[in-house]
Amino acid sequence: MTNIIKNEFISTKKSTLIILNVLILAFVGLSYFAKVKFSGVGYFTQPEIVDMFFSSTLNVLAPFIVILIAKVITEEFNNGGMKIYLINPLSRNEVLIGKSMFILINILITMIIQILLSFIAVCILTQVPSVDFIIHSLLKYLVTLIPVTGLILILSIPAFLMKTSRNTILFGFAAIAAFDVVASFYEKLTPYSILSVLKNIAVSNQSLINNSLISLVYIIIGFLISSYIFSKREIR
Amino acid sequence: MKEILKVENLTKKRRNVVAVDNLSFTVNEGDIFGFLGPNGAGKSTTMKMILNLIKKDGGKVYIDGFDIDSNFKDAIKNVSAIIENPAIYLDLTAYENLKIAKNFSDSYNVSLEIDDVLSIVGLKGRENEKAKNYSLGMKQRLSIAMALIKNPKIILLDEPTNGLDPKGVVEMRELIKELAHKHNKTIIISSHILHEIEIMCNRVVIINRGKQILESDMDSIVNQKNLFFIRTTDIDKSIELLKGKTYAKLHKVEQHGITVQANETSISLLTKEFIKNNICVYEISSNNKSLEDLFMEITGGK
Repeated sequence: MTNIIKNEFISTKKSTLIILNVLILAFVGLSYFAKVKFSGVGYFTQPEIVDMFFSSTLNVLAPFIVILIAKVITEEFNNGGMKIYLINPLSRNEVLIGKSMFILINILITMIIQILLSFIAVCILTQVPSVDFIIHSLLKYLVTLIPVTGLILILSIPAFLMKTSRNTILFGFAAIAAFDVVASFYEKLTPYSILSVLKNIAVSNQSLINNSLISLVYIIIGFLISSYIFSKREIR
Repeated sequence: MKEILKVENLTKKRRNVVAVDNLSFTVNEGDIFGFLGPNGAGKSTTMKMILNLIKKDGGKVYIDGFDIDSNFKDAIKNVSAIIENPAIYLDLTAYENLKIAKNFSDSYNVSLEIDDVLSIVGLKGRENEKAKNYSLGMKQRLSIAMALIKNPKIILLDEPTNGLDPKGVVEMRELIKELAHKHNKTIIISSHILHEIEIMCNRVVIINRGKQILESDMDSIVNQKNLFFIRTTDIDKSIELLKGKTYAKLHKVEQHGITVQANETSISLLTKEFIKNNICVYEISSNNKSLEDLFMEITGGK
């Protein structure tokens, strides 16, 4: 499993991760600019600054996952990379888990970068944050990894079905939009949308338990379906 | 000789068409085994089934004694393969590509060093160039290096000279022979090029439309040489004359004559005997069979 992750880091361009972080910072800059210019806010509290980074990260996360999945799964079927993996003593489930772990690690790295940047921003704009505040902020990011895992596995399904990475990206973006549209039309469904779970899991302890359970369902369904499709897929 | 790969009744159906039909053959350790058939015969499908890249509908595959169904991980440790296009990351350098292959194999095999395989395939000094800048021949060499780094017992090569220029073809053949003879690898080559199989392989299986037509030592095919067709109307007398002759043997009775096995000196002696015995000879022609002739004969050129 570690070999898969190690190799993914060699074969995947670092620029993807850099672009993601730059994009998040651009979102942070935009929301800072909007609040200062349009809402006339002149002073930001520590939680407000961290939230600005946190919500910007969440906004970019889903499309980023789609792009990364298309690269590490669908593209590997086309460039022959999947043959390199499977002509080795690895089960297809190990490959699926390994690749999902790689995406998760990328997101974890992004979160660490954003946490550090948000703390630097807090220090510059206010004062050095307290240990309690740091722990609270870290936990907020950490629990988000649960729905992120669900999102990765659910979005892996089209990656195993599609023939080109372009199709996977288009389908993934459409799926993200569909999650939002369906949730906005049928409000009862909103709490069960993985994107809604992603945004709300860190709100309170109650929502943490409910949203973790919902994420778990996404993880199980995503894994089972992806694993089934992968096991049936012919490597050409 | 130890059996290194055994395929038993391998079958693959696609919709209602049987792509591979009850295919069985055995490859021994040290063989350069040719897998011959026209395009669409089922060669690549068979190779992919051997590697479990596509599911088979029936049959068994044993690699070094391990059943790929029940013991896939132990079986696949011993095999490397290049199926259809070279599986390499074009945006990475040769060294990075080899690093990826080595990362996998280090965990279960005593894999070879990157520098060593680069030397074997003749890419030493070019390892820091991106694979996308390589010629097709170099890409093919790189994928052989990636296969080799695992230090496998068997290497499967699917149409290894496809698309290469004449120089590349000759170099690839030399490399394959070197892998077999110097590095003790068992090589399985699929090809639709008869000449290639004839000059490289010591054993061959011929398939057409998914069905096995022939499995033979190349020697047995080559030994069918020194055949001469003698066109005559006195077939019975000719057969009678050949009885007891040590320098020429009756090989086959044809519609308008006979085929005898003899060398060139013996055939001139035999001609004199025929004339002496008033046997009318209208034509004597060399009837040596190459793999190509045999292939055309058994497949009917289809």
